[in-house]
Amino acid sequence: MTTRREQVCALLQEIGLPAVRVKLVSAEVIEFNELFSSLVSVEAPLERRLWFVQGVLPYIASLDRARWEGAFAHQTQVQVQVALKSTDGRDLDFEMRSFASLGQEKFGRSILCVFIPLSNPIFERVREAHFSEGRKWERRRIQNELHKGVSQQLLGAAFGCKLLAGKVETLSEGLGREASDLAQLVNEAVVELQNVVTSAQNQSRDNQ
Amino acid sequence: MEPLRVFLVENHEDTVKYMQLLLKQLSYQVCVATDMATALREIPKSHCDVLISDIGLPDGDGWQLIEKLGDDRPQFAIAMSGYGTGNDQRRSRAAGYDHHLVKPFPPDALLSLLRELGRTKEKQS
Repeated sequence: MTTRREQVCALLQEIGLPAVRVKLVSAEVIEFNELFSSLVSVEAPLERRLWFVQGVLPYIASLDRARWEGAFAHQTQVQVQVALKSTDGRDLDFEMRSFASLGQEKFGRSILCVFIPLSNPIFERVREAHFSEGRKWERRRIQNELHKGVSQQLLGAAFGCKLLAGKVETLSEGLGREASDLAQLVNEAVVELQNVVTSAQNQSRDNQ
Repeated sequence: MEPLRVFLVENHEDTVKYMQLLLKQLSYQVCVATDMATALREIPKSHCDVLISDIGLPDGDGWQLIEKLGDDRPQFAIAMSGYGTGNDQRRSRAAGYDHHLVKPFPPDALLSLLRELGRTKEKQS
């Protein structure tokens, strides 16, 4: 499967990565995703085509600036550190990776810059979303197992115990009492499981 | 008091076996089907007072069963289901079930319902 160049920023947005594509030489913005725009339009509103030049380049780590300029001039890959701010004003450190593309089509001869957060909640949120989906799936699986397997068998066992208790009682009062206690124990397990199943179903319904 | 005649529709082997034995031990007359097709065929000629049906059946569901039975349905009906949300219970009521038991339930929950239905039937006759 191929991904069209103009879809790359959108795709990176989906996995939680800010991205921008800029022109060679002028570094004017051609394409960006919302995560990127949220990083550069925090304070003074900038002209969109200058978002990269004014909103990113000044914040490249001083030790990395020469490397960035060299890579940008020669259209080679580079990784540099950039300190930007979140929409709520927090400092966010990124590793900016740039890739040059030299095709002939609309986005030909441009540089794609992807911002990988070093310590910020963007990745955390993506990871949390994956975990959350996994938890939901696991909850559904357990619920299904409880319903199809355990609760059916326990229901059969509860009726079996009650039946047995009734039969044993006619043979011996003492054994009958023990069998009744056993039936009661199974009943309690049934009620306990019923509470778990109902609570899981209600939780699942609330989450939908 | 004449014992209630119960038609049990349940496809879980152990559950149907022990339910049937326990109900018989308590003097109920019990007929059994393990799928909807058999239940639809047997219920009209069974003259049972109570239908106890699982909602999940291998060839349909308990809601379809009671709808398809129409006038042939027993006087009383109890649904059993692993699903017990408000929607499930309302759907059972709307289909025509008088009660909706959420699996697993203690045997006494079913037995007390049957005693209640027995008293209702007694008053009516």
